[in-house]
Order: sequence, then C-alpha cells, then structure tokens
Amino acid sequence: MKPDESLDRLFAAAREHQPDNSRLDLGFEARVLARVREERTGAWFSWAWRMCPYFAALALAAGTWAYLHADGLPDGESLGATLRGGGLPVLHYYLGADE
Amino acid sequence: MTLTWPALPCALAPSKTARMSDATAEEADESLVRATLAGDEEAFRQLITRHKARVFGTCSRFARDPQQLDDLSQEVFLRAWRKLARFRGEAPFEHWLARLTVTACYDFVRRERRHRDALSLDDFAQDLRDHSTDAAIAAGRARELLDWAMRKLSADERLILTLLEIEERSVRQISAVTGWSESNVKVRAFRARARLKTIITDGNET
Repeated sequence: MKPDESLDRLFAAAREHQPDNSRLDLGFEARVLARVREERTGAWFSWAWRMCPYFAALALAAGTWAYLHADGLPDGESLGATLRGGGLPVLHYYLGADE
Repeated sequence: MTLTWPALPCALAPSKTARMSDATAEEADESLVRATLAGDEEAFRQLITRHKARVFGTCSRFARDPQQLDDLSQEVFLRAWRKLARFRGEAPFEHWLARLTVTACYDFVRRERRHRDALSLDDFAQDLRDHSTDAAIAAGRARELLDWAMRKLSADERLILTLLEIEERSVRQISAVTGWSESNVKVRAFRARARLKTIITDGNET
C-alpha cells in the first residue's frame, strides 16, 4: 500500500474513533468552578508572594544605604548617653537639624 | 464522527432559521458572559455546560488519558474565565473559545514534547518492525499507530494535522483559530503530512 493511502486510512480510523467522555462530563462544571474559586481566593496570597522579591530588594537597598552612610551616625555608647541626657537632640540629629 | 465546530464566517450561508438560532445562541452566550463578569458564578456554570462537549472533543485529540483530558479541558475554561473581560463580542463566544481551546491544546502538546523522552513511546516502533502498517490497520490498531507517529511530530505539525485531517476543519477555519495565514496553513500541513509519512515508513523499515 502507498504511504499516502496508509495515511488516509489512519486518519479515517482516527476520525471514526469517538472517545467516551461521559465520565468526564460528570461534575465537570463543579470541578472548574472549584478551581475558579481557589484562584479567586488565592489571588491576594499570590500577589503577596509576587511582591516578595521587591520587598527583599527594598530591604537590601535600605540596608546598603544605611551601611554606606553609617559614618555620621553616633556609636551605641554615645547614643545611649545622649538618650539618657534627653531624647530631643537625637531626634534633631535624625531629622538632619543643626546641632 | 466529526464534531460540529462553530460555523466560522467562511462557512456557507446558513438558512434563515439556522441564522436565527445562531443569533439567539450568541445573544445567550453574551448575556451569560456579562453576568459572569458581574460576578454571577451560575452564569459561568451555564457557559461551561453549553460549550464543554466541543472542548472535550478537541482536547481528546491531544490528551493521552482521561486524567489529562480532564486537566486540559479544565485549563481551557480557567483560561476563559481569566480572559473573559477581554471578550469584546466582535465574534461569537464559540469562536473565541475555539481559539482558546486550540491555544491550550498547542501549549499542552509543547509541554508534552518536553517530557517525551521520559515516555516509552518507542515501544510501538518495535511492533512496527515486526508488523507492517497495513497489519496494524487490520488489527484495529490504526489509531494507536497514528497516535504514536503524531507524537513524533513537532507541536505545530501535530496541531495542524489534527485540525485538518482528524477534525476535518477547513484551511480557513484553521487560519482563524491559529492566527496563521491560509497559505501558511497549507504549507505547514503539506510539510507535516510528509513528515508523518516518513515517520511511519521509517518505522516500518528500521
């Protein structure tokens, strides 16, 4: 038999085949709607997860900035002394006011 | 049996009664879409009920077992739900869903091909060494043989042959659902057929 004829016969056989979808039919709508609901309620959660890298990048940037500008900050000891003497100067310092 | 797919604009002009019933069905679909977008879950359930048979029909040409068929069909309706807001109503809902179905099937075939090596699909090649294609057809294993050969094709080739030869859709209809030009569809179909022929012949000869 020529390959072309074989192909046509194969396609004809495939066309004749009628898959039985009766079992699939049963409760199909309920299964789809359950997934829709799942997706709807999971939307906020997935958004939070999607934002994770951005928050991480922000935290990293803030950390880097703080590290690079750490020279001007008072050390722990002087900060403690300043706080004991009254908190207002410290607040002024952080707000960038003249000492 | 061939599944009746939505009559695309290329189809012959339907009778007045058919046109009226089509228009009624389209209106019903559109109102169900509007209701779904307004948050009515029951409307979406009705949309699924109205169109699931056609979706099952197309998906069953690509899925290997009932579980895959269930997953793939669910995926089609989930995609429809996600993209429903983009449905403009310029074409009937059926056509829009047909396009989504074909896209989902295409993605499924591409995913399947990535895992092809893990599957023991070449068991059939051994069978073909011992028995000819004719013998396979005579033994009622034609579909199995075609399935085996089709899985060796690329996703594009498999999609086009399934739509053209098994679902018997016209070149124009395929062009509408895939977005490929009609001449592109013809060229792809010709090449896919030639490739399938080679696979089956080589399978017999090796």
